[in-house]
Amino acid sequence: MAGFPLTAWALRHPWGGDADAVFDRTRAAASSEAPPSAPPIESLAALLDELEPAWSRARARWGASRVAVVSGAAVPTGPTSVSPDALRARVRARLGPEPAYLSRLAYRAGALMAMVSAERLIRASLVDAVLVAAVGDRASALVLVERLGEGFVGLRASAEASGPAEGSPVDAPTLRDVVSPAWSVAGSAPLDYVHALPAVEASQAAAEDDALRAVLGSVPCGRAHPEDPAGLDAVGATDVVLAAVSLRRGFAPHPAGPELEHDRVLVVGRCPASACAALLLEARA
Amino acid sequence: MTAEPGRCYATAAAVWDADAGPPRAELLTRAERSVAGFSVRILAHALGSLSSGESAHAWPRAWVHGVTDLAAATALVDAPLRRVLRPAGPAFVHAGPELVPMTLLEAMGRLVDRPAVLVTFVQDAMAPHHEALAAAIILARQPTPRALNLYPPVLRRTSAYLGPLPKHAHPLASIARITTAINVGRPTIETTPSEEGHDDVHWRIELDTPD
Repeated sequence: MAGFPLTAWALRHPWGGDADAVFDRTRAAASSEAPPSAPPIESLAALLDELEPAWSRARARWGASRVAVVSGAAVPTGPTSVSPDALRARVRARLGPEPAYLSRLAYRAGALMAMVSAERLIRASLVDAVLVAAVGDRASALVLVERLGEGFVGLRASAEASGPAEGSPVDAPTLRDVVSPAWSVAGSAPLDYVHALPAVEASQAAAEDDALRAVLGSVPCGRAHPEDPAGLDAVGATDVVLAAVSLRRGFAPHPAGPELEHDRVLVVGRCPASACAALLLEARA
Repeated sequence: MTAEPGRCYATAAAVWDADAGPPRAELLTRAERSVAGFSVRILAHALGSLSSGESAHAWPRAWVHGVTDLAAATALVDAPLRRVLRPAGPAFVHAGPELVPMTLLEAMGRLVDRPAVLVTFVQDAMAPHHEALAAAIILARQPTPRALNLYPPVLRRTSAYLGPLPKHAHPLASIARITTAINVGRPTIETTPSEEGHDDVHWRIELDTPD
């Protein structure tokens, strides 16, 4: 058992038209390099076209009542954000009214929370397949997760916990509350690296790294995205796609990122004043 | 190939509506009440009715809030309700006209990791059709003596005799009826709209007495 397979994914990003191109750019780009202008919401139509065959197969396999769409959105929504209502309308127009559809809203990490909800809905046997949708003004991603199916990467575990609204920049106990259970599902087997979502400030990133090291030891930790609040609606889903590609390609998605010696990546994100979440991805035999 | 979902029990519920009079919001301090918005106060009133004087540590560690108003959602993050409900913080769900069934679905999913989940909704008055309303429900893996079994919401084809659902129905009307059903222990089936423009399908939410 290596988790629920990611049976399909699609990505639009200023750094490339598909996941592999974006992955290559993350390994080559200097961190100070500004990404080019962003694709609009119309990229969602192309993404849905790209995943439609996989979605139709999943829907036929599991039945219309056993599939769902979970979208992620950042709150508060910025002036250039795609509203959850607009996203739902676009997806429903393409997929029809029958899949269950809900949006997770979270400051800077709605899409990561959507991935967590997807894993949990399948694990709770409420559905058998979930399409996770996240559309930002700069990047968009769709990920199809199924109970069973073909896919090199599996979503092995998820955990989510809320932390105090106020307090220290890093809530280490809350980070531990999500990292430990997600990691322990795989018997706390060696991790190749931890893919952390962007922090609000550089000082917080450093503090979060310290907190992660306190739980996980000296596992390499990286952040792939420029810290630009305007483009964060899709953060989390794009990170999962990049982490999945990293498992398939065998390298971490960072300039001079290390070669992966194992088959396990942890994706961790923290919403200030809200919650933490962690996803464990594993290569499937 | 498809496992059965775990049982879900609605063990407690409370609602604030206009008939309840001014919200008491006794869970909040006087200072908090003086600055809290109306939505926060009516939700605090419903939570106060739900807790019936129980101490804060009795609240579930998971809290799912169905968002009717995106702008109000972020205000709730910093509201004193987080102090009251700690350690839980809200997980926000937004689903347009399908808010009630989808919020319940997300909450039911959380029972795979937690023994109980707090589910809340709040809607301030919206002229000309909607009065203010707040509701709070506790879902749990284990039943209590008067709990009802809550089944996962399912989509159904709308029968001809059911006809189109009212266009100006209160967005939280179904959760108000569900709350009443839980309080009196009455099995019920709620029908709520699906996406606007799709009158041919609706969501069915069923509560029944445990086996």
